[in-house]
Amino acid sequence: MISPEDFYSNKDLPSRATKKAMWRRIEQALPRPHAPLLMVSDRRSFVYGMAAAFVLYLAGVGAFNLIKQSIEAAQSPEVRLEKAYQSAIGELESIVPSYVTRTMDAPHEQGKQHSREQQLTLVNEALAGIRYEIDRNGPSSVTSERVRDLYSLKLRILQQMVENGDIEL
Amino acid sequence: MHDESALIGLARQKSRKAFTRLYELHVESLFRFLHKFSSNDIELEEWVQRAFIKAFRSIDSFDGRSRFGSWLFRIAINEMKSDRRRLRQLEEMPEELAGESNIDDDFAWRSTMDVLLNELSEQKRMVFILFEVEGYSHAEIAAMLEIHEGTSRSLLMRAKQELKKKWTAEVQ
Repeated sequence: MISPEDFYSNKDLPSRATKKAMWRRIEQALPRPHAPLLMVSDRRSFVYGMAAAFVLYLAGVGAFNLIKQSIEAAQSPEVRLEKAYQSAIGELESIVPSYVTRTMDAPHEQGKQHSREQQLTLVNEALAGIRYEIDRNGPSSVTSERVRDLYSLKLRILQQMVENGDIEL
Repeated sequence: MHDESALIGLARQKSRKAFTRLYELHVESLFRFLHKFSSNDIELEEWVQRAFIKAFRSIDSFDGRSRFGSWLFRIAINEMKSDRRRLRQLEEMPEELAGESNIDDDFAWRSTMDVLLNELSEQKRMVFILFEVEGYSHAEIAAMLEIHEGTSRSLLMRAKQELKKKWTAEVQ
């Protein structure tokens, strides 16, 4: 066997510049590192981001409800009572959004319906007046009593209207 | 010391450092071998570059049963052959090599050897250099040149006989 050192001369070897130049050209043609690794990382970040957003949303909803409950708890019993009545009336009105338009057989039935509608209008006007008074002077035992009576009356009128078919369910 | 199989493992993961290290380890041996078959620097650099690019791009198909060097040589030889086929110069000898005898006396024998080698057919020359100089086995040479192992042995024997005959004539 011939030793490579004996067989080859320096002219057979590439110069340092040649080696560098060849490597530069080889390097340009080489494949880049795997892109899928980046995509996996991106997908993972996206999932974490979505989970974090969901947790933040739940935390936000929880905080909002807590603040709302704290504010409501700080209100006086009269205000809370009025709100409860308002809410009950609102629920009822949302269930029966339209008044009856069907024809009445007897003229006196039409008269009764007209009378109940007038009563309801008067109760609403009285409630608005008391609310205005409470807003200006604050609640008192007398105004609270009146509010309670008026809401109770309004509910009774609405109940009668529903029972008589004046309001379509 | 380097662990070439570890480097190849990293190269499979497209590690730029592993590619660089494998290039540094093999570029000189490949270049000097190919230099015995061409004196055209542009052609020579082209073969080396193409061999490395092909090897790195298809590193996943390297099964590791052979040495990385022999696999690389095989790719380079194929590149050279395909160019030669294209140029229809497979059996032609570069005349300029034969004329390069005006070098130092210390290297006179080397110059003579070059001339004698260049008188051999390209395949005999490849087998002779790969076996006698680069130290590859006949099995490895057979894989590189896509010939039978027996053919490699026979080509080496004939190359040696021809060289001996020519050397004797040269000395006398």
